[in-house]
Amino acid sequence: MKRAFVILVLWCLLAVAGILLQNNYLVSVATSAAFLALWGQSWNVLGGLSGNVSLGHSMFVAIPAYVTVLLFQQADVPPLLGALLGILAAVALAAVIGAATLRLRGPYFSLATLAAGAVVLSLILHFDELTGGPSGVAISFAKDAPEKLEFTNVRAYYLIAITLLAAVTLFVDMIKRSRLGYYIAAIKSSEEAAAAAGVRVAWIKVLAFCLSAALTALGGVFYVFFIGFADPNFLAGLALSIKIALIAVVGGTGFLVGPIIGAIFYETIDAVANAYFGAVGGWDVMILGFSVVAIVMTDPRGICFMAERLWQAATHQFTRRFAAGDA
Amino acid sequence: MTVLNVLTQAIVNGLLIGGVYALVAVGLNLMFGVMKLVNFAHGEFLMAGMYVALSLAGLALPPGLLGIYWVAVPTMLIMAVIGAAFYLLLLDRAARFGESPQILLTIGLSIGVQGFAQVLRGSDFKSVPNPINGAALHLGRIYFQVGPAISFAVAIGVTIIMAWALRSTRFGKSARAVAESVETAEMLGIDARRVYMVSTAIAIGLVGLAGALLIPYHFTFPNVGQNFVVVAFLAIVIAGLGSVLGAVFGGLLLGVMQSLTAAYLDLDLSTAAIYVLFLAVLLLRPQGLFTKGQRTL
Repeated sequence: MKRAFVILVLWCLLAVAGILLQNNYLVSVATSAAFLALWGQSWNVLGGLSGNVSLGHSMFVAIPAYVTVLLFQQADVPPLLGALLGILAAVALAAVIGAATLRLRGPYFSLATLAAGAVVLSLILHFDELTGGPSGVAISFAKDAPEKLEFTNVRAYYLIAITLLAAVTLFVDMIKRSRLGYYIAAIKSSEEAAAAAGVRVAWIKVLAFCLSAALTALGGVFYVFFIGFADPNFLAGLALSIKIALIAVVGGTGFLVGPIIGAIFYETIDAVANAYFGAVGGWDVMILGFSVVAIVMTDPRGICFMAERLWQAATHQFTRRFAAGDA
Repeated sequence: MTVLNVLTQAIVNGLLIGGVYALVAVGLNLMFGVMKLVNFAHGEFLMAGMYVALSLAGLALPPGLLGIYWVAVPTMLIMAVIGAAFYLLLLDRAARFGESPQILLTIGLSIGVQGFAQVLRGSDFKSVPNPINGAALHLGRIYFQVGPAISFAVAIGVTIIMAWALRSTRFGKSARAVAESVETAEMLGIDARRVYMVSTAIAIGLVGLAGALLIPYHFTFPNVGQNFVVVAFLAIVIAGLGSVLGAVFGGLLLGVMQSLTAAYLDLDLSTAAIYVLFLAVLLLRPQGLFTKGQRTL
């Protein structure tokens, strides 16, 4: 309950800040950050809790996005119903891929998900009569139509994004402290021991993968309407998959705020580099990549653990000094 | 052209491009076999090798068909030194980290180096005019492109040397021992960290060599490595992670597969086809096609 209350308060603060903020560019940067944080949070259900690093999560962004947009544009299916079908499609895909690949461990699983993501991308590019191929699908709208998820003010998407982020964060927290969460944690420390204790390892891993896919898909559907354009090389690209994993791990997988910190870190670097070096390409990517290297080398567990260690050191110093002065 | 001609030509093209994949994959698999580390930045070392080779070729370009190949050995040596530095600065410490931080570290490095190349050299496609580009030999009705053929021949040569070195040299025996069990190897007096460093230097040197062999007939740009390294990843899993000889077969197999799909189905699907083959192998034979049981290297 306490956590739910904290999240509610934070949500209110962010909502008010977003509505008051005049700068549309900053609001859309914050919206992107919220979506990234949501995906990182979803990735954590499998990647963080069980330690299986997926490098194909962008397929769970792309598939529901395409399903929703195409059903809407070509068959007049309302986006909210389409979204449901899209999320189901993502879960079905996760179940198939998970059942097939989750018995593989470590780098095998990472490479298998990377390959699956690349297959999805090349299929989207290949069936261009349906998907528009490399040129993607544009969503054009001129007026507000909430039932079609079309808003002219970027703040609407901002509010949707932080609401989804809050909901997913609460949900992931619930999973973590549920029976399922403990099963997944047991699998992370040792699959053999978990299996010996009666955990149905294979089933639990597939379930975690499906949950992770469903949450990612939820973000994907709304994201594509926020961007207004289904770009296959972005939505289904390896770069997005990597970004999702990076954000979760750089933030710190053990913390509920980890992906949020990771997303803020990423978007800040991106925005600052673009502001300073705008025209000259490469700086944003270079700074981001090398700061990831620096963070991992300083503390492989991520920013949150680094902050915690600094905080502990500071409070320790403080109490020592205080005690010394007192005596 | 007859049906048979198309088929033969596709297989020849596939084998020749497979040679580059093999050279990239050999180093990747050496590092995985010895250090149990998948180097996601391997493609960026290929890219770096190509830029180094281009700069060297810019310094001097001897005449003659094979003149440009003088850069191969210097590039390989420069990249080997960079590989050793890569080990000492990053991997030595990262060896103690868990798996996901290691994946993250090499991915971060790969992104950072790509950005660095773009900042330093821009994102346009670079090449150096030379007689190899477009040169082809005709054997009956089959074309052999000279550039890829040279890469292929070098890849085969390197594989033979590596296979011999792993079997017979002192380093090779140590590397195999470390791959089998670090603890036992260290008990026997093998300096595992030295083996790691030399393996990384060899792996990065070989990918640099692959880069130098590519520049006569392939454009250089900051994310050129991605195209090759992903296929190399798949090649080493298909062949069996850790098996150096397998990596070469895997690379050639994927090259042929890609070329056949491009010839008979569609160029777009040539990538999908190798991924599907990869997923099929993972499901049916996760230990890889060319490994017996648990043996590595």
